[in-house]
Amino acid sequence: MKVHVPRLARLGLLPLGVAFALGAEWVRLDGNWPWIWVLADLLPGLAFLAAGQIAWARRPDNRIGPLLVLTGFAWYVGTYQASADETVGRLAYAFQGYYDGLLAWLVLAYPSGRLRWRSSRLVVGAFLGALVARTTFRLALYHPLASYGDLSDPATALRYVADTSLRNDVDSFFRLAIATIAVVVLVLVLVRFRSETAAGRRITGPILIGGLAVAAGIVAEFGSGLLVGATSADRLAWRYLGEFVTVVTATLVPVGFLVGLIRGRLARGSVAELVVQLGEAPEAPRLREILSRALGDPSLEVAYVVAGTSTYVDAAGRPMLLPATDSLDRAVTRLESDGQPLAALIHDPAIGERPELVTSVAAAARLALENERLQAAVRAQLEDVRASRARIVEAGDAERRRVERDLHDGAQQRLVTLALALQMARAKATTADSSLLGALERASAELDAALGELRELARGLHPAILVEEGLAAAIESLAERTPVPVQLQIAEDRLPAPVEATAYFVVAEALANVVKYARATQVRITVDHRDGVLTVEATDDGMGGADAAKGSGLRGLDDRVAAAGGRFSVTSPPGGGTTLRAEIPCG
Amino acid sequence: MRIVLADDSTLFREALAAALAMAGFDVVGQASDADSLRDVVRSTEPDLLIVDVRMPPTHTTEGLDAAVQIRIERPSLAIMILSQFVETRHVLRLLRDAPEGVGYLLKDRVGNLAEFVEAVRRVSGGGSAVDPEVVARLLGRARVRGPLDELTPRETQVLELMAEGRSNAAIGERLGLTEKTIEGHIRVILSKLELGPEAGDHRRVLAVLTWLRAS
Repeated sequence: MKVHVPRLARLGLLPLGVAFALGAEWVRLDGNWPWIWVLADLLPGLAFLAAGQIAWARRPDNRIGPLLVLTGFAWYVGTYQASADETVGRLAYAFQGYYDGLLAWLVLAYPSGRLRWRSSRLVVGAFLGALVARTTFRLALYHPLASYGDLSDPATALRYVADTSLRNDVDSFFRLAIATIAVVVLVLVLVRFRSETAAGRRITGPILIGGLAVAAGIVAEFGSGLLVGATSADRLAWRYLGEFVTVVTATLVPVGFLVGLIRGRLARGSVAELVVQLGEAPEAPRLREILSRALGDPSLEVAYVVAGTSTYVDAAGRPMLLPATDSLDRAVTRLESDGQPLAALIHDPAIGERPELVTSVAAAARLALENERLQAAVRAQLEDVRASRARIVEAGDAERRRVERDLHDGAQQRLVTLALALQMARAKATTADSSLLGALERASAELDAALGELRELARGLHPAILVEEGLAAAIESLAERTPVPVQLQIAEDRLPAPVEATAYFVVAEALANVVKYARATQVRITVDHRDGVLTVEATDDGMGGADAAKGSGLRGLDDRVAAAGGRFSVTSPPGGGTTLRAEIPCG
Repeated sequence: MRIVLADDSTLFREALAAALAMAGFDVVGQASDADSLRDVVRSTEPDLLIVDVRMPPTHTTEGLDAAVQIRIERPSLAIMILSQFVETRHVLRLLRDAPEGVGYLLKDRVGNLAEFVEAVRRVSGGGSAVDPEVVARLLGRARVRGPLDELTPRETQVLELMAEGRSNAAIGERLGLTEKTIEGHIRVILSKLELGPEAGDHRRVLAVLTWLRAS
């Protein structure tokens, strides 16, 4: 139920309250109370009225504000009992004590303004019920002394004594009942505070003061009314102690509530800090930490929506179930972007009672989360592209190997057989004329040359030794064929075929370039495998000046190494030799 | 001499068998993969095996591996490995695992039947045959100045033939020199390379090739 009170009416309650307060204390001054007691009685009520106005203005939806104001009014009702006006005194007597009931309500409903637990609804209901019942009895049983007529008449005097005695009995009953209910309220407060999380305690701290105020009320009630066999001096001492504690704690309750509000403002300061931190585009785990700190909730979890679905996952991609909406343990704040669910914050329900804080944090987080989601999408696309590049390179390698094998098993084999057949023919033709022998010799020589060329072609496509013996053997074989001295320092371990092929082609291109352009007198090749990365380096002492951006061979290598997820660099200052370096992850 | 041929191409096997028969060899069995090669060797007890490096199923080095394995069981069996390409590593592995009666030639070499038959005879006699391309590549390999530069052209020629596995007599015949002269050259070469005198041609081959590869 939401009660809408116009702003003017709400503000109008402030002068009305002050007038009500001054009126009450005027009664006391009129009754010659010491001014210190008048002041002590004035302060707590005003504190309630002021705090109530502030809370009401800031949280029009929260019942705490109106409740505080109402409690402020209730504070002064009892004081009017001493009014010279008979009717005012009688009404004040009847409606006295509502302050305690409203205080119990406040304490149990703070900070949301709602009585969330069934037990607290029952207790507040019982408290207010008892007060209404007492009011009813008091209105029915209280008759002004003047209305009795002549008290010297024994019959009248008897009736008066009987009425007074009945009234005292009923009052004692209600006093006991109300004190009992107050004890229950106190117990509920303590239970509630113990069950709070750290985040909740930051907010619910002030209710402890409220609990103390309730306790003071009990002391006052018991001390004044129910001490059997106590002297009147004792009762007076109890009464003063109760009054004193009541005044102090009753002033502190609204102050405590104000502190709660100021903490809310400080939390908004942490939102500003949050926006700055989120601007640094944090990664998912850090984002959770930042949001957790801004909301003061160490238990905060962030659930991300899988794009295009309604499935939630955590930062590591594990599926998450959101708690039920009526869960008392966890609350959920959903974040949307362009009407699409983006993420959800799963947090302590106590934070949900400061909606503007959650709203600010969520708004700041939305940008970061949106950013995170876009980045994740880009990362996924990049990974797709990288994987497809790697597949293309691997498919190319596989195709080269296939062609190499086809050449080996097909053309080469047939040509060798043909060479053999030519030899047989030549052997059989020994007696024939020399021109035939010459022709056969020339054919054999041609065939030899063709076989040699075919062999080099096959080797260039994909050297068999790379598959058979590995990278070290294949590079060694390359080095043997290079007309420039090559120093080798190569780890012998076998690596995944795509890694070996990439490293091999880096070295092959480096050596080919050395022979073609570098005019080097020496080349050093090092291949080092550590920490899951294969580092290939080819350094010559030639003329340098190679440019990866121009040479198609070098650019091809760059592409190839990048496709394997590695890095490729060329250092080639003019006159300072050339170094090719490739770092290839080994999967 | 009893020979077994192993190659996955029937056409090539038949042609080589015919050529060897013509040269006076007795081809007693043929095999198209490593498993059947073992069976054929067991049943025919040959003196020499001619095997292609690559054979089914993986077409990598099954032929080479099977031959080395068979040699461990039959140390007196000579083996001649043929390959579409020559790799120094393969030669050294072969010579290390089975130093006597081993040959490793490019498959193309069968196109020079006389040379090939000579190599087959050498291997079956316990000698070695290393493909000239392997030797040429190791000798011709670019290196910073070293002992090889001290050799005279004649000594280099002798070293080359020696590394191919030829005997002193054969080298002398090839170069038109006496065996005694060749022995003299070889002593000088070995001392220039700081290699000790080796007993047996095959040991000499391994030592020289290892030296060439390492330098």
